[in-house]
Amino acid sequence: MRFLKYIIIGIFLSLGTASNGLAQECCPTDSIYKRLALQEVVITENISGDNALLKFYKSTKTSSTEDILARLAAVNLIRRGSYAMEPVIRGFSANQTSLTLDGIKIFGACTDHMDPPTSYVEPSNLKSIQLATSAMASKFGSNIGGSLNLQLAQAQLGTEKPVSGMFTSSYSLASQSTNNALELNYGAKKFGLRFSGVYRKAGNYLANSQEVPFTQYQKVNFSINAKYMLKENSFLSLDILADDGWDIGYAALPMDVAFAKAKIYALSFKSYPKNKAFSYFEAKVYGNNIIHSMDDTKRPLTPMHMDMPGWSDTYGAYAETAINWNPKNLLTIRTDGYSNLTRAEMTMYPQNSAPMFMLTWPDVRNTTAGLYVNNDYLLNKKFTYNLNGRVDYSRSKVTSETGRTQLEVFNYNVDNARIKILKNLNTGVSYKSGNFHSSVSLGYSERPSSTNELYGFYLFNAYDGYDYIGNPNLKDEQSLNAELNLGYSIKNTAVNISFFNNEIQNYTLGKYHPEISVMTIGGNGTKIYEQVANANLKGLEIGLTTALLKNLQLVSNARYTKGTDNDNKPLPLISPLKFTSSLRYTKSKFSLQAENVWASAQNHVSALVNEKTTPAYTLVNLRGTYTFKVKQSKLELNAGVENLFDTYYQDHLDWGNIPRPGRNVMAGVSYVF
Amino acid sequence: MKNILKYITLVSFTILSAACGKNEEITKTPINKIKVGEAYALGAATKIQLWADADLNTGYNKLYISALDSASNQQKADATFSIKPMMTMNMTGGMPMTHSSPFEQADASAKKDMLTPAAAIFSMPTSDSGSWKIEVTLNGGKKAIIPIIVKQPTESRLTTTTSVTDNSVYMVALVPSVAYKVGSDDFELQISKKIDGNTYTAANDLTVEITPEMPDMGHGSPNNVNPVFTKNGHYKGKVNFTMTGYWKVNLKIKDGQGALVSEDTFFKITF
Repeated sequence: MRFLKYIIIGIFLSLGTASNGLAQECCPTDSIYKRLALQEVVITENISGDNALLKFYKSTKTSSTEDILARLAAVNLIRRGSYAMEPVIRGFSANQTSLTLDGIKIFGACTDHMDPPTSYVEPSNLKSIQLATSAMASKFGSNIGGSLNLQLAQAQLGTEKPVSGMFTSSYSLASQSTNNALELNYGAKKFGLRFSGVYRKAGNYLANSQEVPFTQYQKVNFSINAKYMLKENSFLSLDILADDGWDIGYAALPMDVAFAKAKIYALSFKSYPKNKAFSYFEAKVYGNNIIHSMDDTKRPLTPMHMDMPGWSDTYGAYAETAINWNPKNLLTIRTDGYSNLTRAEMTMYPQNSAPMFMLTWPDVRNTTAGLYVNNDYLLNKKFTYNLNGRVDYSRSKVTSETGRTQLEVFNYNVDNARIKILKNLNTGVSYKSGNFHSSVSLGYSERPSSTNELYGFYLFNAYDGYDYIGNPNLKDEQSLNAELNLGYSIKNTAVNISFFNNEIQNYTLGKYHPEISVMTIGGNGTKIYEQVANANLKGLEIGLTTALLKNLQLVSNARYTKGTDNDNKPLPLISPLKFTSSLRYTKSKFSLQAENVWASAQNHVSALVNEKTTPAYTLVNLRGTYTFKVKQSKLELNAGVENLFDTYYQDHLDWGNIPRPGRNVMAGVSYVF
Repeated sequence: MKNILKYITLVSFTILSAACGKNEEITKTPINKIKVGEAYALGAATKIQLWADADLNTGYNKLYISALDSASNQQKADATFSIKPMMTMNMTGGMPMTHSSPFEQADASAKKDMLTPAAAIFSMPTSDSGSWKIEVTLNGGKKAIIPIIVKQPTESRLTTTTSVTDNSVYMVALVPSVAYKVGSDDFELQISKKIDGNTYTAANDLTVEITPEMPDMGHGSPNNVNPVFTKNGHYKGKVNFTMTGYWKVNLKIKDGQGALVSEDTFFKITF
């Protein structure tokens, strides 16, 4: 409980609230630096009280992981359907960022990014989402664009009631969707068991009163956490998570998904020694297996049926410790490693002719081992100095003969493994005095090239309509990052502003090769991944929380990113200026929340990928909640209208010319016991 | 993958059954070879045996010749050979007609494991209206006439083209590959110029361009290497296949003067 409270306060800090009874005067803790560099959103239940920020992030108990991510000021989502949206951090996309599930590396099994790892988890599985940009981002792996670590929810031990839990169910009219979640916790003195189960089913949604085809989906998600207290402050923890999605429409792509299945499992040991110098130790072994299969059988105009299954298997381990090696220094050391094998196939079935087969991911094994070291040094009561770095050994190898010979077509010799040493170094200073706090950080980072970029074989990109070919000779992308955070808080009001600038070298993009014929029927041409000398991403985020009246709170954020390439031309898939505001009124058992999202037009588009401009839009959502106490339990009724004015719109990061849902009336019930 | 496996299984079965069948006949069985015919060279007390890598097909076939002493059944190590393929056609209501086909003469210097290599480009399969024989001359003297069966492969490995410039007739044969795969494959042609029905010469001064194509999808493949002349009418290059399935490799052939011979010939390759 206390720990949760701690994190909740942490959020306030990260957005710039004043209350700060936490920072220990003697020693630096994670929170001192993190509150400026790391945003953490707590998700799991058992949070008492009415917290506007939490409600802001998780508008309903059946919100999806993506719903929560979208509200983080630094995160935007690439949308190819109404399922499995891909997080983008400050304009950096999947290959450039690091995404982990409680430190577990997961790689999607779809060549077209239809299954980012976030799609295999549910808020019911999670305790919190940790977003790190620039300075803190390399903890979970080499990246140039930031990291998201989704922390798994754990069983609670020694609970008041042996069994507690939550059941929630909601229904939305526009998509005739139902979302249901059950969470159970059994907490004995030394042993705890937590279960969560989620079932979602959505039909095609309506926009402008018209059905938008191929926006349906269904999924089931189960997770189990078993936690055993070995001795005081030492725990053994087992996580098993299974996610199974099927019949998933991807309106913006030429194919849907027949099924997407993930099995994720981990065994960890955690210890919080009472020894003051040695404050924390964790070790974990994990694995995950993902199968993804595309489906074109429901599309009316498919020129030729094809099967496109993909597999991704990852096994890894890490160990982490925090040492207060003297009263002014906190040292965090983390070492991690994993091995990932991906394979994707494409088999096309022409009428009256032989099937055509190729490997779109040619059995690529990536093995990475790394070391991360972070030191926070408390200079004085006002200043903390931070230095951290990561070195990764990254080895990629095409493991099958078929995969090897296939790449001969492009005169690529992949007999030898590609071995790279990736380096990340960050340093920063944070300052806090009275109501003002700030931090500044500088960093250099490198990221591994992705399987698509290195070995992809005729991967059709529906965004620009080109087939993409990998290039095993790519250099690794590098970035110089600078970030400045300024925060000011007075009673009931906090404001925080972040500026960032990333100078990227060896920026990787597809270059059109007119001499290579396009494989995909109807495609525009073939591109090969190449690199331009540099690109730049810069922008800012502003966060504001304030109590306007005693019962009326406002949470608001604004975000803007500008991306330019070598020739000062716009980079693709950059979100325009966007404001999100949430006004919340609470009175005893009743609460009402009005929310506004406004996005400006995006006219800075990339001609290289045939990007289209997107007009501005504004949305209003309304939600109301009424809570009953039923003995020891709580019954909550909620209802809402999303897109109240039935605006017909698309976000700039939405693929295809697919509208978002129109007015959507929803109602739900939750029972917490 | 499945296809490749199937192919490998098939090939290994062929190899195995071929190897097993021959063991009883002679002590030294040529490895990976099939006996496609044999006959006595009359008056030389010698049996001539004809071997091949696979069943004989219309198109280019590598042949291997060996000689056995009729009495001792021992290999005759010093035998030399020359060959000539002959097709006898049973013309309805007329005299049988014979013609030959392009071939590569037995090369004693390339003899290996008692087998002297040669090659024949059969222009048609054995049928009711015609049959093939190979005339093998032993040590420049006695002859053996060996009947053989030539089959029509499922995909043609031979095309005859008449030059649009000077009406010369060329026989373009695809030298078969052991197993086509996704990736970069050897692509070898043997091209002969027809002088008359019995006389062909190796065409050594042509230029050949190849353009692979997948007719079901309408795409090609990049980085192919056009076949260039090596020797005896052979042209070697590389063809790139980006996937399994049905490919059409289009040929554009020009003669020594750079004049167009043909640009509408092709080979179909399915694997």
